[in-house]
Amino acid sequence: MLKLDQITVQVEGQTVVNQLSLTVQPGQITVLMGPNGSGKTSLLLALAGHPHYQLKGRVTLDGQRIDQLAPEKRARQGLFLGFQTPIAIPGLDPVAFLWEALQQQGQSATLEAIRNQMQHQLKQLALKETVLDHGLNQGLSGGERKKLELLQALILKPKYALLDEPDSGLDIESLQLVAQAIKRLSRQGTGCLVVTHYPRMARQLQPNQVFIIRAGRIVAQGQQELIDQIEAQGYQDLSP
Amino acid sequence: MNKTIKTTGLTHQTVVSISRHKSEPKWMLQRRLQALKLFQARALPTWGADLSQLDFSQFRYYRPAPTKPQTRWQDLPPKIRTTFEKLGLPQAEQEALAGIKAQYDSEIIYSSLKQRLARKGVVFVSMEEGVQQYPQLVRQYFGRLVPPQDNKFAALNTAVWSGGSFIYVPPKVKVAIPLQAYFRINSPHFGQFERTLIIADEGSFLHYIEGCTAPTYSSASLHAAVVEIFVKPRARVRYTTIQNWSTNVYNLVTKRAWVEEEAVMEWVDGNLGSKVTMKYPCCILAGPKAHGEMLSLALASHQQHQDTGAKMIHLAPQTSSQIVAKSIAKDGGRTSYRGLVKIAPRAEGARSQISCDALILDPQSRSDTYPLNQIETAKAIVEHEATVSQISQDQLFYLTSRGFDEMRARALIVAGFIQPLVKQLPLEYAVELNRLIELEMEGAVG
Repeated sequence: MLKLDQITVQVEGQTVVNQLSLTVQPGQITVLMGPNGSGKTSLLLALAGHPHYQLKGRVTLDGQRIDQLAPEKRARQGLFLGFQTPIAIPGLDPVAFLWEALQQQGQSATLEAIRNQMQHQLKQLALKETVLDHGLNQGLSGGERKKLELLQALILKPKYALLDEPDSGLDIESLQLVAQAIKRLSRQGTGCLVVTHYPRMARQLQPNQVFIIRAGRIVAQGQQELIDQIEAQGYQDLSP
Repeated sequence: MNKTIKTTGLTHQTVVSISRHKSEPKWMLQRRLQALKLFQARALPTWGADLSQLDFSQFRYYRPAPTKPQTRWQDLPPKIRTTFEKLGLPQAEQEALAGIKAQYDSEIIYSSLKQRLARKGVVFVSMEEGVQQYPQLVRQYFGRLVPPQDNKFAALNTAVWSGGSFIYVPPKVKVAIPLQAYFRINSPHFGQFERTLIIADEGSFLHYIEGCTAPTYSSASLHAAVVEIFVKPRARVRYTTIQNWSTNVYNLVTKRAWVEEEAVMEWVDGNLGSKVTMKYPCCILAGPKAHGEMLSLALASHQQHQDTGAKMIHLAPQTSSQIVAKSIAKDGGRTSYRGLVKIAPRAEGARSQISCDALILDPQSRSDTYPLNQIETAKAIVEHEATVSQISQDQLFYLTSRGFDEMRARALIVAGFIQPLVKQLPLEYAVELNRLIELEMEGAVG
């Protein structure tokens, strides 16, 4: 499991996540909801090792401590971050990129096999095949980039995936496709920690557990009924 | 062997000796001597890169090759064969190449030309052979586009040129496989002055590739080449260069193409290495609907200055041009884009697109853009965009979060940056260029 133990995250001296603990089980979906500015994105970036975020506390991945590792080492241990706003790398061939990323993680496949897998997943996510003709994320809309993040996760098959608002800026049909993709990912065995604003998305995921974060702290924990409560009443009644 | 041409420095006698050694007709000697006077009279350019350390007296202007011209690979001396093997030549020669003109110091010592091309009437010979075997064509076209009056280094080249290729492609003949030439400087203080003349007759097609590598040595070397290309109506010529001079070479090259009606000229130009490069390939779009393209990459590292660009001269209606110039500066290197787009009053409906992208890898490095547009008709469209970028922390984090270490992440970002040029190259060159860039990048993690 991915275990977050007493995690505090600071950005430029400001504490944005405070004493947060939770665990993500393999093959399960954990949803993390919370209002804007509650520290969700900071938490995920810090977990992935972003140098801008100082993380205190212990993070263990299947028993191995990873919070002192460089980002690439965390990735090689099987941690994946699906970015909220994935950046473009012009000219970087997506197929060759994933092929090499797999190799970095000690797996191997032929370029052809990767291309076939990508083409299959592109169809599942209703993405154009021309995505493969451009540089990574180049010329793609925000929604398309989010889908491509999930596509990467489906092929990289990480042990744990941190998905930062995989649903923002998506139309209703895309929302369903993305929810299905996350469920496929968890069925593949990946433990998913999904940050979202939308009860609709959260419900579609049929999560195993739901956490609510406010001002950097977990303020509620439950299951699907918590999503309904948030939709009906908002976050107001849940004070840190 | 004549003693004069074995020593350094340039005099009337040097030029006479070169010409005599090549058994040239009198007209060529006269052109050389006239050019020498122009060279001596002309000052160094005061714009562009710093040439103040150039000392013309320290260069050797001619050295005959150690053997006579060869036509068969196995006849080459072992040492030279090894050198070429390191460049990956034999295999390429066996399989894909139409013919190789490999220049060892100043003379062609190895050449082979597939009979199939010869039967189509394609001429692919050394410039010396061109002078001897096709005197009328050479006399008519040599120096017409780049006369010795053009600039100091064109004058120098005209005076002391040695080696290079002469190519003629007859009407409607399409040369399906690229013609390739490899150049290599490998003796200290030795200036290399190859001269290339290409005539692509109506409706023909040719892709010419020159790749240059040079071993490292300590004293300054000079490379001042001239390339002249005549693209007749509806013909298309692509000229690809990948240069990796050692970091003490002054690379001062004049390249120019005359592009007639509905003809297409494409320059693909990769400049790595050298101490100073000044190179601005030019298309003179002389016929209606002629099209010129320039796709270039410059990489400047420690104590290097790549001053490169392109010139597009639109003389006729409906002509079009495109310039894509990419540069990478690192470890205190400097890249400059210097370009000219001129649209003459007659060139109504002309279009030109210029795009300059500079990537600066550290605060010590520098990149500048000096575009000059002279538009003399209202009925023309010129678009210019320039970007200067650095490798962003967001890009680095994105890639490291996927398991790439920082060095590899940087290399991938740089490889992506040059991809538009790389994908235009034949596979073996693309692989080689990517490898060169990776090697360059290995020291660039700061």
